[in-house]
Amino acid sequence: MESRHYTISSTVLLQTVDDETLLYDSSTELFFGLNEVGALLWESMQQHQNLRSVYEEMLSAFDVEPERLESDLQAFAEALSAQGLITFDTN
Amino acid sequence: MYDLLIECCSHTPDPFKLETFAATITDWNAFHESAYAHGVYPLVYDVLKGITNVPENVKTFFKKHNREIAALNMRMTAELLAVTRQLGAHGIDVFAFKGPVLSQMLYGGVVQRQYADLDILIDEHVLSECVELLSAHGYEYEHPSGFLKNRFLLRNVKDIVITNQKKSVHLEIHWKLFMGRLFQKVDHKRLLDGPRRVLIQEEPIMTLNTNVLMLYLLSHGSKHLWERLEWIADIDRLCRMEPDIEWNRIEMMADEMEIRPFLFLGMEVCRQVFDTPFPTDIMQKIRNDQRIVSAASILCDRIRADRIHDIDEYMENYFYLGINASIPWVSRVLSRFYRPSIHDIYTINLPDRLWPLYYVILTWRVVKTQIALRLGWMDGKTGRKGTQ
Repeated sequence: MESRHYTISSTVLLQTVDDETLLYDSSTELFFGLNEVGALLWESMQQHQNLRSVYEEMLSAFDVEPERLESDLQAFAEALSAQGLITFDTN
Repeated sequence: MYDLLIECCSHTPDPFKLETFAATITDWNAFHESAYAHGVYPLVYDVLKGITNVPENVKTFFKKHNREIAALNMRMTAELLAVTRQLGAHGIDVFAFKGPVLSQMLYGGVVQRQYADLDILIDEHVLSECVELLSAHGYEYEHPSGFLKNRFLLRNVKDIVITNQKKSVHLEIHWKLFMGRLFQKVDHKRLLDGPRRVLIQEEPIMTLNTNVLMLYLLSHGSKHLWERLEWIADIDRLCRMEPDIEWNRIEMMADEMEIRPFLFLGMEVCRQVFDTPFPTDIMQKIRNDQRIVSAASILCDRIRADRIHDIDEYMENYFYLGINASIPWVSRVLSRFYRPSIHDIYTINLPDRLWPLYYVILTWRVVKTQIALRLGWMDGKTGRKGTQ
């Protein structure tokens, strides 16, 4: 997986409510719900700021096909970017 | 109903008691309203969902409302972070307390408490600047910001509220935590020594040190006659979580500000409701003051009987004046009835060197109102002028 750096928006807040993980972006005043897998990915993304590092962490922690993980992670990151929750670094 | 409410909020709820109390509830709507009114909805829901004797439709109902509270809390927390960043960028030190900060401290997240506004503490000298900066952020204050430089105001009032109508956020800006007696000077700067930092979203937010926070929570609750169970639960949890609270220091601070009765009243209420483990030497002093013990018992009985909001102004004055026996009567009455309000200061608006005239004018107003009431020129309840 390529090494893509990103920055999480400073206007995003995450909290666990009941069995759900909620993201709130104060710049758009929108809420997003994450399922269990999404919450794990987000937590890892907060730690690493680089998709390749997230990929490697998830691969070592879970029994998952590498190609499937790469595809899902890319799709997840693109979805976050489309909503302005993360911004990919251009360089 | 209140047995279940209190058990849900206790530090270690007893499963048998929870099931027993839940089985007695016939009106879950009333329980829902009480939990909300007492500010303990998230706490209650967290326990309720594990009780077998709570119907599933009730759990679903509570889940929906809890999520709404959580969403509101997240919006307010984001706003608090934005406000502290904005003021911090202009070199203004901000102490945030209660609200999301207290929730994070006590429960590890910002959604586990209910709060309707945000509280920050700043230096009084930057109050006007703060309000101007925040006005660019959508906040409005009812009076011109120049008014906030009025020295009489800064001495006699301790906080104002500004509002962001678009975001529906009320921000309470404090420059004092405690009001002493009328004309008493309180050293507030010392209260800010040794601040604590709480991480919200990995962002360090400066807040009060634990001793000052505990004193504030106890005196604030006593001032409002413990009308919210949330306040009692907060103190119980803080006491159990923080083994290094310096109770002697808290007592000393309370004595300096002559609010020891409020401190003791709060501690006795917490003990009676949650059996909070306060130091035995202080509890002995409280037990020796029958006035405090009786006042706490009255308040706790009212909580349990759902009559806490029945306390009228007469009773409030009785509590306030009655438990402060160590302060001279005249001083108690003056502090209770003669402290000018923001409205008084704004409408009278004297130069600072003429400040004693505020009390002359206030005295005249009181006399005028009493004359008008007795001659039937004014309605005692509405304050409106009659037909004569």
